[in-house]
Amino acid sequence: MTLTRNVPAIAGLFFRHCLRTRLVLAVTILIACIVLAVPAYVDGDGTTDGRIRIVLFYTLGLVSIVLSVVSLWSACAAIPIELESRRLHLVLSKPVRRLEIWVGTWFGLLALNALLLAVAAGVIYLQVQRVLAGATRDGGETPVLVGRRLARPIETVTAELVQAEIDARRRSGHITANVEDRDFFPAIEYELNVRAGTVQTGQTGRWEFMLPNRLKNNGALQLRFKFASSGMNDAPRTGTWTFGTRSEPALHHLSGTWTPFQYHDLAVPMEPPDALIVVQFENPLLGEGGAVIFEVEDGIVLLNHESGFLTNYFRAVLVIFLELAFLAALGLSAGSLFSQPVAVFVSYTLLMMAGLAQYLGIALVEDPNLPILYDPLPVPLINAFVEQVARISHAVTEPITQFNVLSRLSQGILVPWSLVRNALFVLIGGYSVTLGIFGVLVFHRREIGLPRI
Amino acid sequence: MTESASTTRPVVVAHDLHKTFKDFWRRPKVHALKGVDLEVQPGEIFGLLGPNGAGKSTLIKLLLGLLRPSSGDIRIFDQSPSDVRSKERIGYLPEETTLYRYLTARETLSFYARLFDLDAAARRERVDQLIEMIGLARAETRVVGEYSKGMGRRIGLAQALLNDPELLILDEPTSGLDPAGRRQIKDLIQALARRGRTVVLSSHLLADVEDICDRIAILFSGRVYALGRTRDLLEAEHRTRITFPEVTEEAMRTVLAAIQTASGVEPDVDRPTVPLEHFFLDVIESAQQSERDPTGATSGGELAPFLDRGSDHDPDP
Ligand SMILES: Nc1ncnc2c1ncn2[C@@H]1O[C@H](COP(=O)(O)OP(=O)(O)OP(=O)(O)O)[C@@H](O)[C@H]1O
Ligand SMILES: [Mg+2]
Repeated sequence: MTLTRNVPAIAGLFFRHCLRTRLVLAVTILIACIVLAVPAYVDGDGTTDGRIRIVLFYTLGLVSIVLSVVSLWSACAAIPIELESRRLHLVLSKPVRRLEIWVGTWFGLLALNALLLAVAAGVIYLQVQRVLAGATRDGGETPVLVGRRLARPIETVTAELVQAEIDARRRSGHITANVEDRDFFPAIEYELNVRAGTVQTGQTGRWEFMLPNRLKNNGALQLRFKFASSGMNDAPRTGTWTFGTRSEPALHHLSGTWTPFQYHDLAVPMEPPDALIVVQFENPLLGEGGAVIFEVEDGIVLLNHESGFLTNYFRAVLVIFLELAFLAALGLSAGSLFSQPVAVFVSYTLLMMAGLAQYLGIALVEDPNLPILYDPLPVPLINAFVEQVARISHAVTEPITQFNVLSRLSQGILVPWSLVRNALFVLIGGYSVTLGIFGVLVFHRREIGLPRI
Repeated sequence: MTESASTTRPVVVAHDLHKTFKDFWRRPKVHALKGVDLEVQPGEIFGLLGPNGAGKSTLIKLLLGLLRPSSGDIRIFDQSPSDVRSKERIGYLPEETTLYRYLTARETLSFYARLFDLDAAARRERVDQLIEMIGLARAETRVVGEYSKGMGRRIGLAQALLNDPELLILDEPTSGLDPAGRRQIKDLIQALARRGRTVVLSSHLLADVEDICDRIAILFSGRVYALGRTRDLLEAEHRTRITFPEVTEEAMRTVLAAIQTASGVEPDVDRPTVPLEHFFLDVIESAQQSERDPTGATSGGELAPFLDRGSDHDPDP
């Protein structure tokens, strides 16, 4: 099989070429600048955790953007440059199939990305350690530098509840007859959620959590919360958390004072019950500042320590790597068909369209029967076509969006192996392979015999 | 080698081969080959001649499967050129050597060698020997981007020989080489032919072609205008010219014998030939008359008038 002979040779050649052209050096310097500069420019909340969050979220975020650009550009350039320099003619006069050139170059790009990402991840890790070393900590685990599995409260705002609320408002005349239910649905739903997360003075809020089957770390749980004060100032708020079961909701108490608009992590002072844990928050009557409003999205979550930071970080970097590999396949296939500038243009356009499709697609997810066009043209055929295009591009790009590991990582939330596996299946097995087949077919059909201009 | 040619299959067969280059909208742009028919027999040194743009490189690229014929048929080792297996047996030197500028000579050759079925030891041995042969042993650790044109050409030649090819395709092999290098290439080609290897080469250096090619084809504007054994083509037919004033047979025998006894060497008597250059220009001239719309370069006209200003016969101010 010539595949095992030629692919490593071509991958090695490509990789060496990148090293010698100092591409790697230039990108490494750029990454180092980002890693050093970002913490100096982005201000956190002053805490060590905040600084670590910033290093992880912004630095790693920016670095992965730089690496995506490098990956996409070098992939777009790979085949056109070989073609225009006519080095490809010579390689193709050897017993080498075009498939092998495509795959070999892709592997070369993967090696390039792996090297650059490893350097970047290493530098960022050192930066995190530096921040940690500079901090005076009161002991305990940094809530950021872990990988924790997250449990959200059981939803209390169901579709029926929302519908009932809409019906009630119609009866009371708050909603007029000419407006359809679905136009109101999201707003009412949000409102009910805010209401469910609001604890008035002198009252107690209650949330129930289904716990994951297998808890790690002897079942130790943390409660993480973030709230706003109805007074809208940042004066710290006092209150009492209680933890228990349905039958005995107040087994353990924990009182304290917390500042609004920040994440707080509390160790849950009890052994976790079998499946369900009830968490309550009491907003005392004597307190000033009015209601305490927990954020709708992840304002209260329970966390279970599942892995250390390093392994979590490793998995996150792995997912980023798979994203880069996908971009490399996209660029390489575009370059199999077009010249370099056109390939760059085409692949960026595709990515932008994908982003747009996701943005427009929110409406689609809510209700697949919803018309997309609010102001349709008077030509039904065009409308139907546009709708189909929107639906298809949404469906095609939807799976890519689930791999945002940055926010997980910077909040100390577990990046599970299942996510890495999904990324491997979806980004590599699905998208990259499809793009690869397309690219190889196109490349195979191309005639290679340009005269020197 | 000619004896075996009749019994074995030809290495290259082109039959009514057409190639039309099309533009982006698939409209025909250049009809670069217009029905080429030719065969190359094993062990033969075959020369492709023709003015610039005649279609020599196009034919070679079709042979390598880089281009696909618009119509007609081309076979190499009885296989389609797009079949990669044929490449195991081919060595190719492109018209212009384009190498990986950041690799050294040794790395370059090692890379190309890895694309063949050679174990590591054989690869190293061949690379060593080829570097020695092309005379770049002292420069082997320099990156080829720094090489002069001729040095690069030598690397190009070496990479074409890595697999000890049965068919060597050389597009203008001597271009850019110094006289010693040219001599070396000619010797090399002849040595390979003696080992039964087949060589197809294109060249503008007619003296070289005349020296080494067994057979030639002269292309013009995508058509073959002359094809045959070099000697046959150049032979002035039905004439025996002896470079003596008129003598009788007997007198000649005496003369020859006299020469032999006088100088101790046997004089060679054969049919005289015209130099290939004359023949070539004749063919092209007549081809130009028959071709109404040639695709390549024509032989050009007078000196451009502005270049001739101020000379004796042009009293332009
Ligand atoms: N990729 C291409 N697209 C369009 N026209 C081409 C292409 N390649 C070659 N041609 C045209 O085909 C004709 C033959 O070109 P070719 O390169 O085969 O000539 P050649 O005989 O090798 O000339 P030279 O002696 O200059 O190397 C020329 O008219 C050339 O312009
Ligand atoms: Mg040519």
